[in-house]
Amino acid sequence: MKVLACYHLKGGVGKTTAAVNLAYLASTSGAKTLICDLDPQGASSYYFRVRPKFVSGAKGFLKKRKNMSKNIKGTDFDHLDIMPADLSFRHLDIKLTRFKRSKQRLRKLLSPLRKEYDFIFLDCPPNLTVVAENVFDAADRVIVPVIPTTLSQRALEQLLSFLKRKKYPAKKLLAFFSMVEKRKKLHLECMRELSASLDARLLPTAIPYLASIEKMGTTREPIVVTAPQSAAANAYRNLWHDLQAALSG
Amino acid sequence: MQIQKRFSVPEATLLQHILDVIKTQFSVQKEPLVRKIQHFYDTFDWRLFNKSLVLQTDGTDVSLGSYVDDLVLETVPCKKLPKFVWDLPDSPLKKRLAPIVEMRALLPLFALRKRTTPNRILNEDAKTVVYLDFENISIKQAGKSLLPLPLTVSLRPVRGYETEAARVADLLEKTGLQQATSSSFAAALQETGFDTQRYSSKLNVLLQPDQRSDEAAKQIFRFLLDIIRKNEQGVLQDTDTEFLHDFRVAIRRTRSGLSQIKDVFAETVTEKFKKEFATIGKASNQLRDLDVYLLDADRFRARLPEHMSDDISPLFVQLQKMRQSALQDVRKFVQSDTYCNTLIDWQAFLNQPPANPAAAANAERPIATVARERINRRYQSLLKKGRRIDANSEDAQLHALRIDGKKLRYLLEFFASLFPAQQLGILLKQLKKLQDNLGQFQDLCVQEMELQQFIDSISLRQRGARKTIAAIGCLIGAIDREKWQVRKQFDHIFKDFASSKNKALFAELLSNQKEE
Ligand SMILES: Nc1ncnc2c1ncn2[C@@H]1O[C@H](COP(=O)(O)OP(=O)(O)OP(=O)(O)O)[C@@H](O)[C@H]1O
Ligand SMILES: [Mg+2]
Repeated sequence: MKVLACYHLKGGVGKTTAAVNLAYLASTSGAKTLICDLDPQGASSYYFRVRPKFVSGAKGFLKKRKNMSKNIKGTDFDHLDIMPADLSFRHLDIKLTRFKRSKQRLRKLLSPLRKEYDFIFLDCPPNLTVVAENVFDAADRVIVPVIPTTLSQRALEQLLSFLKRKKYPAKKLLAFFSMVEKRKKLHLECMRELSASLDARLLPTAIPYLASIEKMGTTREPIVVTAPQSAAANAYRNLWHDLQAALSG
Repeated sequence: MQIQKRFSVPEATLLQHILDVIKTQFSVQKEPLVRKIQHFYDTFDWRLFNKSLVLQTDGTDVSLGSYVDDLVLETVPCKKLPKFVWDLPDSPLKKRLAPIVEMRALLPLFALRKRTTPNRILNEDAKTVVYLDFENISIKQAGKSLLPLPLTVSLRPVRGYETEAARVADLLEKTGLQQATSSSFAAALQETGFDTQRYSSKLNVLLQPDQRSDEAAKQIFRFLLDIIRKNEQGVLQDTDTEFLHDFRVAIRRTRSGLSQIKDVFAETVTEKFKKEFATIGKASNQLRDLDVYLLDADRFRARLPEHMSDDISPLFVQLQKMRQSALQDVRKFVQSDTYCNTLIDWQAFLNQPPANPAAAANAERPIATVARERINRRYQSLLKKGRRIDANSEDAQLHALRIDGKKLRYLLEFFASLFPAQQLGILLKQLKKLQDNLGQFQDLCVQEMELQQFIDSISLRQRGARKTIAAIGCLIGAIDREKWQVRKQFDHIFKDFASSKNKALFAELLSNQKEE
């Protein structure tokens, strides 16, 4: 089983869109796949038409490992399940710190699911708190969408130095370019610089900025399902191939 | 957990009514018709059925489902199901199947032609919360016309939406639908009349304690003869190695029974068949030996350092060739007059009414008494022989002990129905431990010797001969070490077997018969 986190400390970069489409693609090969919506905003739950949980309270969720599997719901697609967002995750960071070994809590919670799933995708909220440390600890790879702008570049540097400080292996991180606009000179320049510094940690496929991707908000399905022949779907398929290659390499 | 529910639909016209009822509470989205032909498989001895598993192919995937519902447990892309598990693509399905099926061939049972119209039942977010499949299924069997099963509606739940599934099930029940046989496979199996009890190599003979011993013996032998007969075809067609194995075990048990259930038949009869069954047994010795080697090929390779593991390939090529000719010999033998006449005579004898006056001293005595005497004698002799073995004993002494152990085991199995199952089970398990140790020792001794002989047969001019010899030398070394380890374990395994606790158990078993 592989745990793949879509994460960035920056918001609105395409984490959820990637998590939703990659998880779907993983499941189409017959691999048993779970997407965990760790973001209290519940965007990935929304895309799969699953209501976030209101009641359980993060405390219950964090305490009982059995709860994990009880909360899982089947999506409309074979082999793909979802752990919907829990609204009480809003204060997840504070609650996490109340536990012993608070940084390993997520890994421990996921462990009973190891047998059941081939892939677990984590759709993470944007921040750099103890939640992030849990994600880095639990994930085999952390997939980071990077919009090729100077601001993003700075955020990425921040993330890299955070990783270094916390002594996570550098190759845990895999970046890809997100919302790329080929006509923007700045984007191209920025991509050139980052490619050099990220080297093997950069997945070759870039996801272009496409208005069609935003339509996922109304179709409430992965774009790979609604428009399988579209440029967007192709881009996510290529990204999934890259990711598989990186995982087996 | 997910439970699939199936309902039979007496008339196709009801389907619309069912949908209308559901639409009072949910919206329904009809999916396009799915046509599928599923082929089902099991081993000759129903290994999957006995584990409530169902193996099927649909031309793109192989999947393993459960017998109690139509839910799929594991699936792997694979167009054609191979005859043997080891040829399946590596996958969780293979991992799960391999220890159950082992070396048995996967044989086709029948096919189901399925026309399924799935209906998605949606909640207010247009999320599918349960599937309702309208299924039109027919059984396809070679040389027979399509046999339609009654129409069914299956409720396929979605994880986490159990409440909704229960609500839909309620609605269906309110329309008066009756629940159908759990899975379509189970329904079809009933309809085709396949006999799932048709074969098991396990001895299962129900004797009465006060039954005449000659009659009881015949009953045991008839059971064994049936096993012999049922395996002949598979031996001739070389379907898999276990047909010959079961065939041989039944022959061996017959021989053992003839000499161990003493004085129940006329001496001339016993001697005639003892001799003839010995001939039958011998005829396939070589083929079985070769089968064992070839089945164990991976284990032989694993004993070698990795860089040498391919160097013994010539050994297996040679063994495969030898197997081909050994198989021809066995085929010829099973079709020979010698073999056929023995079995015909034997069957005729077993079907004769008991001889009057009795043909031998034990013939009319109650079987429970004779069984206890025989078991007790075997057991005492086993203990005596075992106690004489120490670190300096010859290999031959261990081999002899193994043969005695086997005789005891056969006796216990022949007469199992006369004793309390639980006690007998414990003793058989203890005995099996001892037998496994002795059997392993014997196999390793034989293999060591045979590999030595194989080296002698290699011509040094053959390509790669030196490498092969080196690899086999290495293998002999590994086997020798293993042999001594197994030998060392004998002491405590025998001590366990001969413990006072086990002795007491035996004494108890032999004193009180099973209460009726
Ligand atoms: N390649 C793209 N082209 C155009 N729009 C995109 C693309 N990727 C994502 N979007 C849109 O951008 C918005 C943010 O994307 P998404 O929700 O995937 O990002 P996120 O990183 O998960 O955000 P958050 O940090 O809020 O969780 C969404 O409206 C999405 O539809
Ligand atoms: Mg998001």
